[in-house]
Amino acid sequence: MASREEVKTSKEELRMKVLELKKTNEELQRRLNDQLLFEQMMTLHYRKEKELANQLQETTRKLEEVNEELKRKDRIKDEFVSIASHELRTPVQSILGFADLAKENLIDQHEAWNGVIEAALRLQKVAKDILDVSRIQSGQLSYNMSTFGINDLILSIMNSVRPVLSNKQSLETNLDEEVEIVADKARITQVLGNIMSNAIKFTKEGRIKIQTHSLLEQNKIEISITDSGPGIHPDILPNLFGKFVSRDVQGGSQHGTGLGLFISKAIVTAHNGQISAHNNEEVGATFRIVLPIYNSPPEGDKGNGSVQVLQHS
Amino acid sequence: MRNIDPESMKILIAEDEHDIAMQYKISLENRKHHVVLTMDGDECIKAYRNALKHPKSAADGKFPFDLVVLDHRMPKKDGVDVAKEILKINPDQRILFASAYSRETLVTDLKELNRAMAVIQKPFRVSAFVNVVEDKEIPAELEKINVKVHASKDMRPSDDELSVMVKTLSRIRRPDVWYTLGDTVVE
Repeated sequence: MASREEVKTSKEELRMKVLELKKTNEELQRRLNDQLLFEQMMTLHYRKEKELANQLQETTRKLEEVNEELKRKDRIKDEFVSIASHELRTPVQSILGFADLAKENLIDQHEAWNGVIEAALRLQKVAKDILDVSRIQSGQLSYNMSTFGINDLILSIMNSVRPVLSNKQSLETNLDEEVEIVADKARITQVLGNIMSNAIKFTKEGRIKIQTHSLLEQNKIEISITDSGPGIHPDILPNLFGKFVSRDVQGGSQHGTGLGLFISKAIVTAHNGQISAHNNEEVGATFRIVLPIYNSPPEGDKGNGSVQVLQHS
Repeated sequence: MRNIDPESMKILIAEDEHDIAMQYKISLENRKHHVVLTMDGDECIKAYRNALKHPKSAADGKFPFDLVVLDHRMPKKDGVDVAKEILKINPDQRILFASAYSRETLVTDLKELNRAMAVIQKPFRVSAFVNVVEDKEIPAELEKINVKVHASKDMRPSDDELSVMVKTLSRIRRPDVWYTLGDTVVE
């Protein structure tokens, strides 16, 4: 039998062991916690790293996209500058040629002056169109709005183009009841004048018909200009309202800047309108412009609301 | 004026601008040249083939025209495509480009012709144009260069050869005229 002293010693030893085990356990627990914490941190770290990598990938992709877009815009700009300089140089060539030939008495003076004037006017038109395009692209084309009747405007444009018609060309109208629109009169005149002079240019023999049709339910007016010319070449129809696209892809010496329809579309769009073109089933082409109608406010509430400025962007 | 040949030349012109085409015709006919005007690329090739088919003299059978003047931007077929077709028929045909395009735009297209080409840059004075048309040194030097270009491997002259060619082109500089040889432009 163990003596009391021995039992006491064993107990003491046991207590010590328990204490030691407890300590070891605590140490292990602590290490385990550290380990878990470390793992958690690592997981977080990896997750963060992956997130960052994804973000980086996404940013790179976006940058590549922006880069491509910039390159595309740069190509368009180069193309624009190249064609614009071509369009500016051509009438200058014409002017120089007429002047040189007239100086040498190789051409009738009257014919030379007419040629010089025509080429100078063309140069002026190209310069004006290029300026308009540049303003449209930078969002700086401003509009002076006023209220006016669309039929009045159409009739005045018709009066101004009538003198250029040959006896093989006729101008017809079929106008709905007069409605007022709020728009930049000069710019809308520019659009309609451009489309009408195109129609006259391409319809050597035949008729040009201008119609208006009120779309009262939509609060809009539709203006259509139909010609009986050769129609629009199917190759250029999808991009007709682009820059430097001219209807005369198959024509001969008919010149135009190829900017008129691009400018027209920008102007109509800035007026919350639509412009479109299609070839007629039988012959010729039709241009259709839809513009919002101005509804006069109730009596006593007229104010001076007729003037506002739209900014095209 | 230098090296002007008083002989009458047969000149085919493709120019879609009516006024400019007429100016070429008046100024060249004043110098007793015979001018055929065409208003687009297709018409120009047709006129060239037609002249080959119906030669007015024995010499016309090979060279129906002493010179073909081409605008670049034209309806139906552009000037470089017309040049390609004419050079396919007659690789030694003398061609002069008269274009309002800047050289940056034209060089890429002209490169496809694999030869040294002369371009008169619009706008130019009528006298400058007549002088270039009648200049015999330009076509003679271009022809020599083009023989060398075609004799070189893959039609790519070595750097040394190219440098000699560029020197030659620099020697025949004229107002409003520039030359293209591959990517190289001499003006």
